[in-house]
Amino acid sequence: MQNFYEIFLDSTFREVIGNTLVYVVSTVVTEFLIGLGLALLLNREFKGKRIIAPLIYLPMIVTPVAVGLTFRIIYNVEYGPLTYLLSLVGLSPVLWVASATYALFSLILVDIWQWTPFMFLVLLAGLQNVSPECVEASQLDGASYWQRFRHITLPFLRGSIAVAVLIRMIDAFKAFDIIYTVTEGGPGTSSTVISFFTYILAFRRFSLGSAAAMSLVLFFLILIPTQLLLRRLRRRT
Amino acid sequence: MAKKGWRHRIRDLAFYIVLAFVLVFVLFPFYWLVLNAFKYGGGGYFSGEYFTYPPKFWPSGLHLDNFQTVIFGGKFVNSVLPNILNSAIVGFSTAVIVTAMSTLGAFALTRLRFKRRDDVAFFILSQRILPPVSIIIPYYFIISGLHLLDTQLALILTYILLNLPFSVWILMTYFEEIPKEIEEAAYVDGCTAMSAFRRILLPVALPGVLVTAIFSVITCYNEFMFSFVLTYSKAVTLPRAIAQFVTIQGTLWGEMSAASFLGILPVIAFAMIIQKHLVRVMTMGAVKG
Repeated sequence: MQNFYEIFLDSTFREVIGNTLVYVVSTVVTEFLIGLGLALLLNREFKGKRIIAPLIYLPMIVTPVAVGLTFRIIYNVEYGPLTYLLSLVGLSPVLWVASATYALFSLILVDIWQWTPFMFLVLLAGLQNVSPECVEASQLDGASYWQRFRHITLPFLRGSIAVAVLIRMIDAFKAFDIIYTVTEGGPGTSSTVISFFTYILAFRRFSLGSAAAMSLVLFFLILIPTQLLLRRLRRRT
Repeated sequence: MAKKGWRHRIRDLAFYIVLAFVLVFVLFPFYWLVLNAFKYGGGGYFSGEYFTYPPKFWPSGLHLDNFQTVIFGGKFVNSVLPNILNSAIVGFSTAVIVTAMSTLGAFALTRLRFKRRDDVAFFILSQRILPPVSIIIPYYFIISGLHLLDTQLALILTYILLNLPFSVWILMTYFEEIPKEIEEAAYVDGCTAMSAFRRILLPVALPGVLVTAIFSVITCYNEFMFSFVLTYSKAVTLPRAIAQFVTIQGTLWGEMSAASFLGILPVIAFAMIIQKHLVRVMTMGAVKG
């Protein structure tokens, strides 16, 4: 129990929990909204779809370490392209990964880049379940686009949305590779999330007791979305 | 009518503009990675074409010196070929073992009757949800106690654990789609459960089995955390080797980009093969693509 007292009294612990919640909520919400928008937009036939769709999926397959390190270069203040591109539109340079204010935001951006395709892919697959008869009937009845989306598309999508959001939530809690490669949790602990903090405690500070306590905290945080997901999957079979 | 056609065209134009924006956002990091790999590296910490402002948005030529350093080793870096080999050995061994185990497991969980079958299935699935970082500490001690630190075997054992639940679960969804009547006919003709599995079910389910195996290879290949903690020199896999280009002295941008570029090529190739099944494998069969 002493290990738990120690980590709960530690102010870093509170910061890390806060970072984790910000990271998980903002990545999952943004990825879901963009993914849904894209899926609705691309759910039709157009020229070049067979080439463009796989290009959009690409980020989620690519080795996260390679992604993280590439973004580390892109974010570099002195020589990276991002600062230069922003200066073209008249924005002053931002330190990105080197500033305590923006480090976590930079990580969130990488996560969004890599995992929005997942939301997109799952929701696009979900849109195939929307019955064309219902859509046609609603058009005959003169439903507006918004009404059709709210009352027909959304109910058909509910299952896919639940699965996509839950899987992303669980994986966002586990985020490690991107954090290690882009910011290493810094500056200070400003972009450290639980899974990375556990690693730091165990293998850099060698306080195994706190690390084990920390991983239990993470476990219980994940348990809630997990239970929801399992119930969902169980209903399906 | 003419007015409608005009409206249509505006809408199409807007659609393609949005699409172009999305593609630029998605592809820019890839472009930057490839660009950096082919810039002139110079082989040192602050050499090459990387340290200019504004940065160069296209290469001054097709320079291959980064690839040469990465493949044959250079002043500051070792060759990554042994790391690629490690990744390949670990990935394929894991995929073969996991696929063999999970095919049998999924067969039992979908076709055989035994007590609390569904609970066993959900117990297996729940392992997928366990945060890996919470088992990494005990795992480190187990592996070091067995004197297996920095061996390929340690990684293979770990990756089997990480991949098995998900493989079993996906294969179950594939098997459930195959009608039981085909096998029942085989049972009537005097087949045992094992030979019905081998002669009837397996050939029909083979595409699903291959997809699962390929996806296991991809996950092992991309895995970083366990490789990072459990290996340090002989058994280092490619992702961990790529991360080592970030050093206290500085980051070897060119070498890192070249190694990352080499590293993602096989993943993309594998992903192309299973493209149509991606939704299903990534959602563990909960959403059919």
